[in-house]
Amino acid sequence: MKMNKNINKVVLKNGLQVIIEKDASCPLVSVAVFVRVGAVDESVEVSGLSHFVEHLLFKGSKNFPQDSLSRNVENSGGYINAATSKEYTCYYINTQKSACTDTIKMLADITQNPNFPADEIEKERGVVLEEIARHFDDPHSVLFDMFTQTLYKKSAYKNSIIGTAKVIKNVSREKIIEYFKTHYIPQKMTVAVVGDINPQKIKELLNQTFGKISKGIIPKSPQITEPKTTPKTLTKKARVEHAYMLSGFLGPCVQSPDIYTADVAMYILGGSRASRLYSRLRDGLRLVYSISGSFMSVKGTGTAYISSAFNPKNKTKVIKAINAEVENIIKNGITPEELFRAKLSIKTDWNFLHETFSERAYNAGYWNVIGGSSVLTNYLSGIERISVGDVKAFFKKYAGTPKGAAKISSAVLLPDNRGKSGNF
Amino acid sequence: MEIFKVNGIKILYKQNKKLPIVWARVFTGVAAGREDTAGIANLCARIMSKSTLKRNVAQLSKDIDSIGASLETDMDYDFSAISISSLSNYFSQSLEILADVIINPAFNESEIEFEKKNVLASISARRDSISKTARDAFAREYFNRTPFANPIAGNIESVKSISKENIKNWRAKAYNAREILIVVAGNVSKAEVKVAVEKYFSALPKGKVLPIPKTNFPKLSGKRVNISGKFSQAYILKGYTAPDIKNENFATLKVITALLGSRMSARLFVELREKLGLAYEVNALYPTFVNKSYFGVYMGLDKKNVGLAERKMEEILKDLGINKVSRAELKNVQNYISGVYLLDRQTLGRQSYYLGWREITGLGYKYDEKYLKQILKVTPQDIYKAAKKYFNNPALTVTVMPEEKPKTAKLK
Repeated sequence: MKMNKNINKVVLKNGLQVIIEKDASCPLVSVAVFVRVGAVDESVEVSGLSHFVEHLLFKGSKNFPQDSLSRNVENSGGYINAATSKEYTCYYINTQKSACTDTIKMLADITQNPNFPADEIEKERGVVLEEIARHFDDPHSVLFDMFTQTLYKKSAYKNSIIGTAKVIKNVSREKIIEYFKTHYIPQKMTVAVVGDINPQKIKELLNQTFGKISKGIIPKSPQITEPKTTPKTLTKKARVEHAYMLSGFLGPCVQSPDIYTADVAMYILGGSRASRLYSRLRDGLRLVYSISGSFMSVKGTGTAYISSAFNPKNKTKVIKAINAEVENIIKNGITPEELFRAKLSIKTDWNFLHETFSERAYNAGYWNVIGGSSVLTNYLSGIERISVGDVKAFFKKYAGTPKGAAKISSAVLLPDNRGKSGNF
Repeated sequence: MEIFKVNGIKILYKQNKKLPIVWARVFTGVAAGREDTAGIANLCARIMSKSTLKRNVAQLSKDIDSIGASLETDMDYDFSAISISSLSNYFSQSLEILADVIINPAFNESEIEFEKKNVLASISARRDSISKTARDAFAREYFNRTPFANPIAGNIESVKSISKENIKNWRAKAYNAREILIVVAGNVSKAEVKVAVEKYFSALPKGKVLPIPKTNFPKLSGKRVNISGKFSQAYILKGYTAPDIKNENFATLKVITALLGSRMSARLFVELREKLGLAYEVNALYPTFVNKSYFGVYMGLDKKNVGLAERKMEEILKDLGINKVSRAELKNVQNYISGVYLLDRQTLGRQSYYLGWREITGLGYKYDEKYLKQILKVTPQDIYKAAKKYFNNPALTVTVMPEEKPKTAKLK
């Protein structure tokens, strides 16, 4: 589905970017505020601070003190949450159309006038420390950190989003405010509004609210280009029940036309039950319990992921079989049928993704904040243009050595075989 | 919205022309809650969606992919569903595949053995999650010896014992013309639906409606289950006996769930997370069951705070039966439930899921509208009475505590 004529993109005078889409099919509205700050902007001394700031923005602002933001949203029938990633922090509200004006006013206030109350900072340290403990109790989260640290060595993508307990326990209020002021500037922000709205009125409102944020000095951009590295496998033993593995390779950045090929290529490799990895490793060789592949676009060097779970005794065979599938494509390419199926499935997913205003607002904000706003308009035509040769060339370029061998890195969590835990 | 029959099969149809997409879901009420062998409903649906007499594993996967469709299974205690979603111009092909899966599953012996291994691995992997560890221990104790005591996937012993014959029998019992309900929602006409169902589902055996087995739920006596876990966090799940969806107090308890949990402005969240900084995750739950349910509160926290947190949780629950909730607070909670209800039903996937669930469990598809009306009728007095009735009973408390002296480091 093409970006339709109801979508408007505007850059406010202070540099803040706005995407507005009108859809009156139901009386709802979604507003997403993206700030280009995340783990990539953090030094070791402030590891996890972007995420901590995200929590603290819910602690009140000049015109909406204490917890009035979440209270107001929920009392008027809305849902509010936030998320921090490697390179952006997003605050989003999905609500009734009648609450749209207040929603925008509140989001603008918390992103420019947060109070950072000292006593609330102290209490919130405990909350985030529990979130960190939970993170390290979860094999998937631990594995994700291990994998990015295996794949990324030089660029800031190696940084952990959740950060360290040491920083959360000790970081001062002054440091928090300084970090906030450095990064929450209009030039680093995108606001997406989708729903049953009057676009002109929303534009005026955004000008009166987000448009009032003073311009800041754009901080030095982090290093987000990863030079090619030698593939590596990092294995750790832990108290897990079976083997969990994340594998993959470095991919194109958002500005590269290769991102469209990346989506098609990873769909063919691991995007469905008919994909190479699933049909071969799971249904054919029966080596894995589950396996899937996908591509994640970021501003800098992207990641192609392959996620699998299996009996630990199959570890070597699984790694070998993944390499063999990639090498097979590098050598023999793909079939026109596979390409057709991938394009149709991606097109279908794109349509299903457009069912909710929240997905549309998130999608628009996400592509814009990572510098790929053209993707929103060009996505399906970009996918349509891919040829069988492009997919073969993609794997050769990103996942192969000059001699055609697969260049895949992996992180594996294996059971330490210390028996079952608890009362089992 | 329309309901009609084709060849004795009940069809629930909802047209929506907004996007060129469609969902078709085959529901059955013969699900995990009626099992004699735990996990059979889940295993049966998994095997059915693997291969058919016409299509081997690879062919079925390719045929689904060739029309850009997705085939999925939804398993619950009161219903199961096997569903397909696609662009609407592939509706007829997608319904043909769905019918093939329902009517002609291959039940290949070697695939059954392989899927059993995968299910066993998924059951073991539940022990890698602190919340699932607690939830499973709670259900084992609370629903003692009934089908509700096991995870949907079953338990290790039960799944190992399932034979091909068991699966075939289950399929015949659960997926016949009398038991199933087909829900179609999306950009297709009624005529298209009728033609496709007539064409592809005519070979479905009529079957017979079997009596619903009676479940004897044990009575809850206050009890603690303490698990020594491999996690660095501790976890509490405290639950009270609570009624089924048809009970007059159902809507009131759903309001209480949102009063205490689900929201950032909910009482548990505000008291335990915001004021005391004790937890990241703290919430209330009240699973929607046709038979008996429970009302639970849970949180993940540092082990040193378990005593304090438990006292606070109890205080917050009991307070509802001592001090009446203000009308203003109640109104806010009702607004929240109504708002989230609309937000949640934006997709055809969710709409068709709720409609089918309500219809197949005997509540009727119109229940989904009634539910909101019931929520809005709840009064402070209703909450006061329900809290007195349910939260003064003995609770079942499950705690997962970190091992005293871990022999090696945690996952980190």
